[in-house]
Amino acid sequence: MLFNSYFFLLVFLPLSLLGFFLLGRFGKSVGANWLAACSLFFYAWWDSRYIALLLGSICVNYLAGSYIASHAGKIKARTALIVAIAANVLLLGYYKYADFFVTSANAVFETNWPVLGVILPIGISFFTFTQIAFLVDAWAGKVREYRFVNYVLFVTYFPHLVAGPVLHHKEMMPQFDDGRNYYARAENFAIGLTIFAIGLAKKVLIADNLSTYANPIFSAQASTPSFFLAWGGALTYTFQLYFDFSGYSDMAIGLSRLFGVRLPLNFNSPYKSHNIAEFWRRWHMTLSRFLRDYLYIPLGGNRHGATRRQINLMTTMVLGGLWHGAGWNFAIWGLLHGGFLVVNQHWKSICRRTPFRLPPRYAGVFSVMLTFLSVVVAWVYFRAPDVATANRIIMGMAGSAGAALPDAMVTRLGPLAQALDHVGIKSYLGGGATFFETWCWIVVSALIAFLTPNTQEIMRRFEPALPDESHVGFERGHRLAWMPQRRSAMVVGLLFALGVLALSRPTEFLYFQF
Amino acid sequence: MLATTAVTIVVVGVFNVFIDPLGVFSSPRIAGISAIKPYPDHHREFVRYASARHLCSDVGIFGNSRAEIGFDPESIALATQGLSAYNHAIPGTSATTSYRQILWLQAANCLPMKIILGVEFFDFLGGTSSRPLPTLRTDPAPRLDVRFFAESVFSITGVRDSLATLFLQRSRYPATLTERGFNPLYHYIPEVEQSGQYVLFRQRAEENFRKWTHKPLRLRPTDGGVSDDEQAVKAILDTLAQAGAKTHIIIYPYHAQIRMMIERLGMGGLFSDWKRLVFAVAESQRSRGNSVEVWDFSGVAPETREAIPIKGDRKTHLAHYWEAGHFKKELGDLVIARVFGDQRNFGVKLERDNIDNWLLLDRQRVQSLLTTPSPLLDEVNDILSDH
Repeated sequence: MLFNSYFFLLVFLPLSLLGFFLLGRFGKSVGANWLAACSLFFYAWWDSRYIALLLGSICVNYLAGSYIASHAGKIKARTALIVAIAANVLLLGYYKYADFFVTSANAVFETNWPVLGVILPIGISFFTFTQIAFLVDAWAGKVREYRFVNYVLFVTYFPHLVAGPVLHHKEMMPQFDDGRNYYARAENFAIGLTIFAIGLAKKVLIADNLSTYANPIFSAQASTPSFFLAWGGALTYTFQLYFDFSGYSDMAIGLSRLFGVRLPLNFNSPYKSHNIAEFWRRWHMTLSRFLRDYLYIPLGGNRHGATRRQINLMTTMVLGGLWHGAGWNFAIWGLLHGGFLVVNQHWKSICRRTPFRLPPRYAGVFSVMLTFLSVVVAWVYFRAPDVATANRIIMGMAGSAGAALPDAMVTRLGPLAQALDHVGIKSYLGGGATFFETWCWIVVSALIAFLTPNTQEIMRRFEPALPDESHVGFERGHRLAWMPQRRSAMVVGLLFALGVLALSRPTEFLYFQF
Repeated sequence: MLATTAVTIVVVGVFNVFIDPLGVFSSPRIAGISAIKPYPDHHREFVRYASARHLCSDVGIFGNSRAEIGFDPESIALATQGLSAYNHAIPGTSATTSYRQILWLQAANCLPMKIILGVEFFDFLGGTSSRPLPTLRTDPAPRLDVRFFAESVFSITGVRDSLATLFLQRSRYPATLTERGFNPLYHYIPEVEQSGQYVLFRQRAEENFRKWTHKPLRLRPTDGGVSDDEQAVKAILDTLAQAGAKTHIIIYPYHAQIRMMIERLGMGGLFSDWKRLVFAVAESQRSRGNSVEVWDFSGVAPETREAIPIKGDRKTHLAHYWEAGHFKKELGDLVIARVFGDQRNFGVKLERDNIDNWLLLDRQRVQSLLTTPSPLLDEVNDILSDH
């Protein structure tokens, strides 16, 4: 079930809310049971066959977590932790990577092993990571709450179930245990619906429209695109993913707030980042947090010298890339980001020793642009169906297929057309309208992404999400800041209406596939 | 907030039904507001089905974009015979779509008794193995259901279409569909004035080249069975024969540029074989006493050899073609006139005693064009050498 579907908005969500607040009057556990049941129904709507897998994973991890916590500090707990994590990783590995290994082995060893054709259970990456964090926290003695229904709710809570954010036990359980959340509150509804409306608009009014222009360039059958077409495709995907993921994250936070529960922030204007490390503190923040706490730091982090630190960074990013998908293009994407992070560290160290400084304003713009361009290049590998296609697009972006503009556009340029011809920019027939629309969407998207406040900044007075640990700042006192007043209600109502009016198109969240 | 949302959605719905851009609600067509309807890029089958049911015409025109753009149901040849016609043709569709439309019309007791059915050579190409025709008889006709309302009335798409309708009323060259389903392609006129008709010919020829060369060069699947399109054409003829309708199968008037490219790409013989195939399908019906004719307008004739304007010429408007595959109403009118009795025009009615000679002659004429220097030959050579 998608958040941007009629059934979800008109049937599932109202019934879930109504049942939650009515049954919540009979006790917290009754309300929690209802919400967990709704969440399981939400998951089963996609494919009921995988409900058993989800419940099995929950039961095993719950028992393992309880055992680990009750033997905290003992060797038994450590052994149980290792076994439980291995079981989770194996489960994820089987569903996500089995066919990848088979096809890679066939390619390398020239064997002919049949692929298994495993269907990836939706959300498996998220509920597996959530539970690995729970196991580690149980071992570290951070887990305090052990009611099974609350645990089921923690894992299956539908606003986050299929595409994140990756949750921590300690930040969710107190909220599920808070009796005040079982009563409907107008403030939560106003804030939650506003955030949801903004997220819905990002998804259906911007991201879905951008997909039309991004997809053709990434077709495996497409030939090497010329310069402007390649950049057009890469940039439209860059913004499509941004608004898709940002929209989803807002919707999850907004929906959760309707139930009185605040989710962790997952997205904080990442394209405004001044360097790649900041980008990762702003993009998919809960995944970055997970990878830092449960992979990078256990690997040794920065505690064993510069070389080891760089190896740890690269390892973390490559595994983070493979987490997004079983394919060499995801590994390259991770490798690129690992490389960017290493370069960033060296660059910072060089800058510290260099007396020359650009004026802060120019340095800021330059660093944001450079970071953004690096991210765009890496997204090409992330989006392309295979490495060969990604390489073709990168070659196109580098100008290997030349540069050309639509003939219909060139003929309207008058004397400038000759100047373009002189610098090697040719013309091609057809595609004028698509070219024009592509770049209009890119400009509009860029203006929104770079110049407008994000949802958290708009709603900041009302603490829409859990406190942010990333230490990345927010813009303060923006005039678009939301206030619970009639004018804001009308604007958001209008935005919500536009979102609902755009629901009829078939659509998919990009992050559902991870 | 929710009140604003609800009011906005209701207002949008009322506005869209009032403007009725798809023309399916029988809302009044008000001059200056909603009289001219925009060309629909969605729900195209429904738009045509709704109008056709309303008109219940004598003649039905079926096919792809060539028929939609080329065959005007208000052609003089039809009018002088007192026939009312409707153009059901939909761009990019094959004979399976025509078959579905015919079944819907039959179920609604509106099946025309005279049919013009355009058939497309390129639709017949390819196929890996035979598949049974989809069970179209159980496909329900489109209707005003919840899904339609959600997609077209309570939707951004509906608002876009309604606003387009308002703007269209003042447009000199509106992209529109007439009440009888004809697409006059007025909006191509400024295109020609901006870029020149050469660009349209060249662009389409390059697209055609890419499309054709990706198709396997055979008319029937590898297992020797019957292709989807052949099955669909047979099913159409069976249905029409049972209803007692008369069918005129039309092989479209391709511009000589397309014929020369077909020949150059080694498909000339296949093209002749295809005509024989279409003729054989029709013959099989005729042997059972059913009324089916096959007309071939694809031959080289003055009408189909019109010179392509040179690059940069933005003034010349061809009389008969937009580009090599899509002919204008003016040529379509000649085709309809010929089919309905005018002996003076081009086009050949395929019969048992003329088909062999005609196919031989037709191919010789194309081959002759390929050996005689001309600007058209230069252009064809240029397109093929570019790839």
